[in-house]
Amino acid sequence: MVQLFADFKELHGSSPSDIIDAAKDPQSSGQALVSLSQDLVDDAKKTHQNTEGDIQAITTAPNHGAKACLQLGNIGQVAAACLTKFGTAAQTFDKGVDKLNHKIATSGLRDPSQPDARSGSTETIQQNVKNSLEPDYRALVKTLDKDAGDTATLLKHPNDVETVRALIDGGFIPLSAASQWPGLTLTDEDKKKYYKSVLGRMSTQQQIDWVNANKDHLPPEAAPAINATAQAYFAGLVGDDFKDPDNIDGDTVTLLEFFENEHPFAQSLYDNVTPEQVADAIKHVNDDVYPNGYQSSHADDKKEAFYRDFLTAAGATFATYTKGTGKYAPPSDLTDRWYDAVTSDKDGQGAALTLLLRAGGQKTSYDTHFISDLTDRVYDWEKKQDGPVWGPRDDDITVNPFLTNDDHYRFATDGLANLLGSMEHSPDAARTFFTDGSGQIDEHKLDYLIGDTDVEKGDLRTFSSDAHSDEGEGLGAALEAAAVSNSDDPATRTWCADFASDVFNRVGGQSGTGDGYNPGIGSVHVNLPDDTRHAWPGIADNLGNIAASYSSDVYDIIDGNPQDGDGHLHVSSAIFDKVLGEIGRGDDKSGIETLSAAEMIEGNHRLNQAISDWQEDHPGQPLTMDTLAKSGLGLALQGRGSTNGEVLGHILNKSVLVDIDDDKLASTRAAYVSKAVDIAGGFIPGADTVLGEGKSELVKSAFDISKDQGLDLLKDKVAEAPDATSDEYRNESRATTERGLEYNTLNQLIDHGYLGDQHPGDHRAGVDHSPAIPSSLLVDGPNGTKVVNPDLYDADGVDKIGKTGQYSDAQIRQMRHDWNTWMNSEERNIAEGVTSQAQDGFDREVNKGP
Amino acid sequence: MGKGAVTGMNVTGLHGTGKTVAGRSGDAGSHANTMRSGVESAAGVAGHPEVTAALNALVNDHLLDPVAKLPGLIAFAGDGIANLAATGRDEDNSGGQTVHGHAAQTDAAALGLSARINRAV
Repeated sequence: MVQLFADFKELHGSSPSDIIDAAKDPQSSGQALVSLSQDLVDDAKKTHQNTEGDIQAITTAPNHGAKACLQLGNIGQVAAACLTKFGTAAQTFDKGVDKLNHKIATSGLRDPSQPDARSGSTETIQQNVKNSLEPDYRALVKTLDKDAGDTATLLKHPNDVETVRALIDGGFIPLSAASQWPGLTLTDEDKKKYYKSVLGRMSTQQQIDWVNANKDHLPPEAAPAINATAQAYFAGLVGDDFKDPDNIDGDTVTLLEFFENEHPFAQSLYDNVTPEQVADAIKHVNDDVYPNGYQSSHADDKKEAFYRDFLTAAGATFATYTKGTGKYAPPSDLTDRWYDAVTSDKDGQGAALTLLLRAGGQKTSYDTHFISDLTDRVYDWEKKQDGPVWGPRDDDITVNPFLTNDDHYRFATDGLANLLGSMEHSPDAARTFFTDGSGQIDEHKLDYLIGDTDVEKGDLRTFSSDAHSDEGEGLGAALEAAAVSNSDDPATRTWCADFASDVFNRVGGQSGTGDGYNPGIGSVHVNLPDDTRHAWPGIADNLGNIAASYSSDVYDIIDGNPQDGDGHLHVSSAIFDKVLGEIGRGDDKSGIETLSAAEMIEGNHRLNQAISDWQEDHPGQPLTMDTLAKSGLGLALQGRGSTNGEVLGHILNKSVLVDIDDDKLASTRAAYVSKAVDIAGGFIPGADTVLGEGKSELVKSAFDISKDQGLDLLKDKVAEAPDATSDEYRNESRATTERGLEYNTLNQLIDHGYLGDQHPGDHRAGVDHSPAIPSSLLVDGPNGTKVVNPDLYDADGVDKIGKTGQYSDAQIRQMRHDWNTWMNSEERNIAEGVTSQAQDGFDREVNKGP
Repeated sequence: MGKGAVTGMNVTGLHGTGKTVAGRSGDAGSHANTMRSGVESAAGVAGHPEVTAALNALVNDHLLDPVAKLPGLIAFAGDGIANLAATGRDEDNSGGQTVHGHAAQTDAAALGLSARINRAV
């Protein structure tokens, strides 16, 4: 027998398990020190509670000990984690060596039935095999040495947060302990790495056990770390629930939600259930939630929420299924199968399946070809049918639990409406659907879905709830997905702008001035006078969102200076006014709120541009407030402020203020302006009275609302904030608006360098070169700029700032001191004067009546 | 307690907290020493020279001195708090006597003052 390759113990004198065991003492005593540290922090709080006044030396004394305890405890944790890391590497080394040695040991075994199979002695054979494996062994040693080097490097920097991050990523420090390290912020990527490391060291069965043990709080970052076999196991459980829907429960939804983005799970699930089984499962849950049919407006809230969660998770998982590639690609006839199932005569099947697609599409995107092709084919099929299509196929009426809680507005019956809605987050699919065979906008589809200015043209279909449709909700989602560009590609932007123009011209061209919604644009089934034709309520918000994404063009149209050429809206001001009227009708004002905020953002951009233009026209002028005061820039800003006010005022006058009584006109307008300024302030800093938490993060990034992601963010902020007509904005409106406008302008002056050194080039002794606005009042803004700390935006922000908890006592004292210095400075007086000129112009125009 | 240009303390509570803090120094020293000796032992077990060297350096550079100082640091903080409370009580008693003498207050009222003092600074 030849000598085998040395394992770790033979090389280094101790076993891997010895090393891992050696981590126990540093780990446990280190953890004890961390706990003690918390006790001392609590002691400091008690000390503080028992004293009064400024005797910090004593009240904070326990904190010094706490800090020392925490630092030592953390070093113990790092040392233990490094030992575990290296011990694990040594175990991996030994496993590799075992495999090599096994090959050597078994290579000398002769098969008695074939005595001549090998020649030479056993030892010679083994030696030859060993020689051939030598490179593999050297590779193992090299890997071990590298692990040792990595471990040593980490041990040299035990207090560095990057050391801790590496150990957490490697799964050697628990994720839950991360908060012990001040200054350590974990990203989602860190969490994914952690779970990949921890779960990657488990067997399939251990992973299954882990998921089951943690099912009440499964972290989404862990899902990708579950191996395909374990994912298939859980997909099998969910598939069984689909086939026997009585078993669909919270666990079903939990698993679907956890694995909804994972291709192995999605494939294992939807390869093994038929569309018919999926539809039956949905109908089963639907009937359980609404035992009395669609008119049960008082369904159990929890059951209804469960139904929404089930549909969303199952739909999002199906979306993942459609996007699979390579070995996870769905079958090539997937669209055929779903087309057959959706257009089947089986009661409720088309409604249930398209509702699933819609629910998934509200959360994520589908494969472009699948969803556009399916929608296109169903569209063609529908057009070929005689008489009512969807109603007769959904006798029991499937409920759409995502629509408003109104008996007449909750139908999932209309399969085409659902399919249109399913493209909400699939812009490429929506554009494909609305493009004809020659690459042009498919006007026939728009004739059929929206209608033409010539009301006699085409065979418009209805989206009326009277026909168990959704009042245009799905259509609006598809129109918005197609009209808002998701790309910088000029061809795409041109197509989107042309499409948006087409939609606006059709809606504006048909829009009547009379009250009421029936028949609604897109219906010819009821022959009412033209002046009662209006957009379906369900598309009003989408029209507002589309307009918001073309805020620059809208600004120019209203300003009487429309832009020509590719990529711009081509809509007359008269038609656009009618579109504004449609956006502002009905109860859902989110579209007009989004558009108003977008125009405020656009106005801020143009104020910024006005300063840049002025600087260009006055080269060599010192960038000081004194120069600014004498320069006439204030007048230029006043002009720009006037136009900004005119644009916003016009939008409101032509939309939400049309039907407002005179005695409420001013206050309603002020409230809408207030919300627009408030929202816009999050994008270009401004007031922060109503919008609240999270806004300060917005000012640190730049957003392009002409593209879908930026627009989504703006929509989210509009939705999160109170309604414009709520008491919050009505009560705060004046102060909010003034502060918002002031700080918008102030940040632009900072951006253009006017609030820095006020005596540039003056090198005499004693001349103050400190910035006009102290640096303690500024934070990082978008694109490397500095902006005034949004926490200071409230009128009483400087008093409240200490309550946010993110500043030290010393920082708060400094900020308060600097704030008072700034507010009493000459530079601030000048800034206020310039701002008030811009504000005067805005106020004058925005408050003009229709 | 309200705000104002007044320094005051709850003597009894403060004294107790100070003693609690000081009392933690023993546990802190014990845990810290166990941790240090654990890392020292691990250096001998790690086997690989690079890891052993790094562990020994960790002990020398980051543990020896802080571990030795930790109990004293905590005891000092705790004793300081307790002493401040004791000082406050002495001054309070003195103040109480003065008040007793000048305003002819009852003993009970003077004792009441000793539970909590608030003096202008």
